[in-house]
Amino acid sequence: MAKNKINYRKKYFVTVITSILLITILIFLSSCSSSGSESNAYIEQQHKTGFQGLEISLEDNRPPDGVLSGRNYDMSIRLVNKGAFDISDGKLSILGFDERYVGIYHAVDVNFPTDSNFLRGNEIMGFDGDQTMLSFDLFINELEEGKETEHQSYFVTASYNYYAELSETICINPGAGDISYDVHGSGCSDADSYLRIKGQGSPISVTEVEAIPSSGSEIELRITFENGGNGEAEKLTLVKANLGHESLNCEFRKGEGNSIEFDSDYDQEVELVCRKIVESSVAYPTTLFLEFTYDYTTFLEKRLTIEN
Amino acid sequence: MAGVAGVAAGALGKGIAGLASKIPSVSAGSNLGTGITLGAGATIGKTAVDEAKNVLQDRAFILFLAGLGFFILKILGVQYIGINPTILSILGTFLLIFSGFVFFGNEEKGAWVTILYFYIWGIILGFKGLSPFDPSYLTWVGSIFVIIAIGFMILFKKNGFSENLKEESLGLLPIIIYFLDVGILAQFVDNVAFLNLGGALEKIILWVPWFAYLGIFNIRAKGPLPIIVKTGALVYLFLLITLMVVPAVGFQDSNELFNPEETLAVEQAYREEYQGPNPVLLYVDCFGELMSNIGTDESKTIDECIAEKLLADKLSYICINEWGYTEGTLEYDDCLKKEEVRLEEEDQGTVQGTVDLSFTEHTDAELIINRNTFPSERSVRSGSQSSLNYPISFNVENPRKLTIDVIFSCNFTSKTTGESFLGDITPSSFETIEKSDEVSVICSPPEGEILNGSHTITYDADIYGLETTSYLIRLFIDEDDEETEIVQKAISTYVSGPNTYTSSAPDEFARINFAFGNPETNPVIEVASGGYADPAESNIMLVSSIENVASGRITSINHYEIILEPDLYSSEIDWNCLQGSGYDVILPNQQRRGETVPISVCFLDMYDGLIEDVYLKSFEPKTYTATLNYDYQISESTDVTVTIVDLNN
Repeated sequence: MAKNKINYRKKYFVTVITSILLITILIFLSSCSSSGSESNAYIEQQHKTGFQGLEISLEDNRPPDGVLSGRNYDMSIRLVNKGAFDISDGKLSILGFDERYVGIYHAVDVNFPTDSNFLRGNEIMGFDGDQTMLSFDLFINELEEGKETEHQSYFVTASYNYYAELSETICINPGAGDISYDVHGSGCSDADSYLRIKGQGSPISVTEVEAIPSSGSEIELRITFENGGNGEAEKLTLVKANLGHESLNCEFRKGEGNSIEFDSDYDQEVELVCRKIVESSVAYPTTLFLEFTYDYTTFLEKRLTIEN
Repeated sequence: MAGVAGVAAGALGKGIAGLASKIPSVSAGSNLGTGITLGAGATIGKTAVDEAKNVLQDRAFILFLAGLGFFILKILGVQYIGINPTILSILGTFLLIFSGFVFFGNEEKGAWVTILYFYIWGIILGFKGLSPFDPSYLTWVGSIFVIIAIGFMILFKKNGFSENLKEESLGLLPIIIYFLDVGILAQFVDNVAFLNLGGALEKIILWVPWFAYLGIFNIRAKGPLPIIVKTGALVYLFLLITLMVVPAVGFQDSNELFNPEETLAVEQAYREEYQGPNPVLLYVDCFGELMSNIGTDESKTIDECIAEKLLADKLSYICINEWGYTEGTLEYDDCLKKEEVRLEEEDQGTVQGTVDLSFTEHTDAELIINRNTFPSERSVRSGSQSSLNYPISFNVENPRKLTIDVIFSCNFTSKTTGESFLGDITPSSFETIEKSDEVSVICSPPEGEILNGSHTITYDADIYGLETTSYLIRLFIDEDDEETEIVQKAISTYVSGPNTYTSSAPDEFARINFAFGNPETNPVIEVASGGYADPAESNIMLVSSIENVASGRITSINHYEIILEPDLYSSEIDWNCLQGSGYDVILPNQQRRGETVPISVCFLDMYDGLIEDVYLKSFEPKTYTATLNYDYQISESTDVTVTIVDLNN
C-alpha cells in the first residue's frame, strides 16, 4: 500500500514537471517570428508609434546644480531625436538668466544639428535616433556683498520643424451599416472604418480616423491630430493626403484650408476633414496615406544655485 | 445658535449646581455610606475599588470617555491620521444615541421622537429651509413636528400633556449637543449670515468636547474620580473663557446643505483656518516655559511668550497652507522670515517694498547699553559730578565696506522739570570702513551743570554716507506668446512670489521702494510685437517712494537713482522720478518706523533693443536697481538717577 502510494506520487511529480517543460517550450516557440521581413515590419511598426519627439537633457555636472561665484562653467546640452522622423531647422535658446549674475553668450536661436541638415529619427535596428550636443560657456559673476546665495532659474528651449506620415488601411463603405463582400472576397467590415492609432512616432500624431458615408457616393474622412508630446505645436500643415492612389480634398476644421495654428483653446486636438467621391458600391479596404509637417517647441526648466 | 448656546450653558449650569451638592464632606469617623468608617485601612481600599467600579459602570462616565475620544479624533483625525469625516459622522451618531440612553433611557419615548425628528430634518434633509431661508418649507417642517408631537401626546395621553411636552423637549438636549460636537457651528455660520456669534463664543463652542461634558455632569456615581473629572472640566472651561488670546477665524462662504460628513469637513477646514493653538494648551506651555526659566537670564513674560508662540503658529500656517511649502525645507524657512516682515509692515500700515532676505548680511548699527554695568543709579558727593560717566557701545555691521562717518551726541532731560541740556560726549565722532566695528562712547554732564535726581539720557548717533540698493524684478513677455506654455511657466517661475509686486532691499535703515508696470504693481509687462507706433501706448507707470525702515530717522537724502537703462526711459521732462537729491524730497521732522515719503510718478517708454529682445525670446526677466544714499540718526535712551550726598550737613 505504501509502495503504491510512493509510485503514485512519483508519477504525479513527473507529469507536472513534464507539463511545465512543454508549456515553457511552447511559449518560447510562439515568441519567435517566422520570417525576417515580417520581423522588420513589426519593429518598424513599433518605431512609428507613440508621441516621442526631441528630448533635451543637460549633461551631468555641466553645469552642476550649485556653482561658485566668480568662476566659469561649461554647459552641455544633449538633443536626441526619439521620434520616428527627421528633425530639421532646429533652434535652441537658453533663456532666463539674470545677466547681473550669469553671463552666457550666443545662446539664442542656435541652429542644430550643426553637422548635418537633419537630426534623424529612430532607426529600425534599435537605435534611439540621432543626437547632437551643444556647448556653452557660463560666466558666473560675483554676488553682492552680504549675499550668500542666489538662485537662478533658466529655460532651455528647442524649436524645430517635424515631418511625419501616416499609412493605415481603412475600410471604405459607401453603404453605411452594410457588411458586404464582393465576389473576390475583398470586403471589410464597418469596424474597420474607425481606427484608433497610438501615434506615428511624432509629437503631433493622428490618433483617430473615421470614414463616414456622406451624401450620394461621397465618403467623409474625419482625421484627428493630437499633440501627445510634452511641448507646444504651432502651425500644422498637411502636405499630402491620398486614399489609395488618389488624392483627397482636405481642410482643417477651424483652420485655414490645409493648415491650422495649434491653439490651447483646441485642447491639443484638431480635426482634418477630407472628402472623396467613391465609385465602388461595396465596402473595400484601402490605404490612407498622410504627410504633414509642423513647428514644435519643447523646453526644459532648470535651476542654478550660486554661492559665494 | 445663541439659543443653542444658551441651552448648552443651561445644561452646564445645572451640572455646576449639582456638583456642589455632590461633593462629599468627609471627617474622621464619618460613615462613607457603606458601613465603613475612617481608620479601617483594608476596608477603605475595598471601598475605593467599589467606587471605581461604580464609576466605570456609570453610563455617563462612559459617555464622558467616548465624548473625549471623539473630540480628540476630530482635532487630530482628518489632518494627522487621515480619518474620513464620514466615519466621524457615524461615530457622532452613535454618541447621540448613547447620550439619549444616558440622559433619559428607555422611559422617555417622547424624547426619542424629538431626536429622531431633528435627526431626519437636520442630518438627512440638511436643515432644508434654513439656508436659503424658505419660510414656506419651514412652516411645513414645523407643522409636521407639531402634528407628530400632538399625535404622540394623544397616543400616550395617560402621562398628561405637560409630562409629554417635557418628555419631548428632553430630546432637544442630546440633539443640540450632537450638532455642536459635529461642527454645525461652522456650517451654520457659513450658511446663515445673521448668526455672528463673536470670537469668544465661537472659540468656546469649537474647543469644548460637548458629549464629554454631557457625560461629566450626569455622572451619578460617587467617589473621587468623578469629582476630579468634573473639577477638571470646570477648570478647562474657565481657562478657555478667560484666555481668549486667539483671534477669531473668518468663515468661508458655503451654500451647501448641512450633512454630517460635510459639516465635519467644514469644521476641519474651520479648524485649519484657526490661527493659533488651543489657548489653554498655549497658556500651559508658556507657564511651563516660565517655570523652567526661573534662575536663568531669560526674562520673558507670559504675555510675550504667548505672543511669540502665536506669531510662530500663524507664520507656520501661512507658509504651509497658503504658500504650500513643506516644513523643514529651505523655502519654508525663507517664507517664515518674509512673512514675518510682511506682517510687521502690514501692522505698521505700509506694504510698499519688502525686505530682501537673500542678503544675510547688511549694513546695521545700534547703540547698546550694557545693563549689567551701566550706572543707572549713583550717589555722589557734592562737587563730584565729574565722576558721572555714562557709557554706551556703538556697534556697526558694514559688509559692503562703505565709508561710514558717525557723529555722537547726548543730552540729559530732567524727569521732574523737563529741562534739557547737552552732555559732553567722548569720542564725538567715529569713522570706519571695516566690515564690523564697535566703539565705546561716554556721555557726561558738562561742566557747570549739576545732575541731581532722575534724568533721561538720550544718545544720538548721526550716521553719514549710508547707501541702500533696492531690487525689482519684471518679466517682459511678447503679447502674442502670452498663452504659450513656456511663457506661463516663466510667469510662475519668476514673478509669482510674494515680493515681486514692488521692490525689495536688504533690511537696512531706509530704502527706495519702486515699482513700474501696467498697473505699476503688475510684474508682467506685455510687449507688442513689432513695438509701439507711439511709445506712450505701452502705459508703463513708475511709482516710487522713500521709506524709513528702522526706528530712527532719515536726516538727509544725499542722492537717489533708479536705473532702468538701457531698457526704459522716462518720457517726461521731470527727471526727478528717476534721480534726485535732498532738494527733491521733503523729509518730515517726525518720522516713525515704516513712514514713506513719495518721490514721483511718471510714465516710461521702452527702447527698441528691449522690444526686439522680447520678440526674439518670447519672454525676458529683468532685475532693476535703485540706490539711495542718505544720512541716518539712531537714538537710545535710558533713565539715570543721581543722588547728591552732602557730607557737610
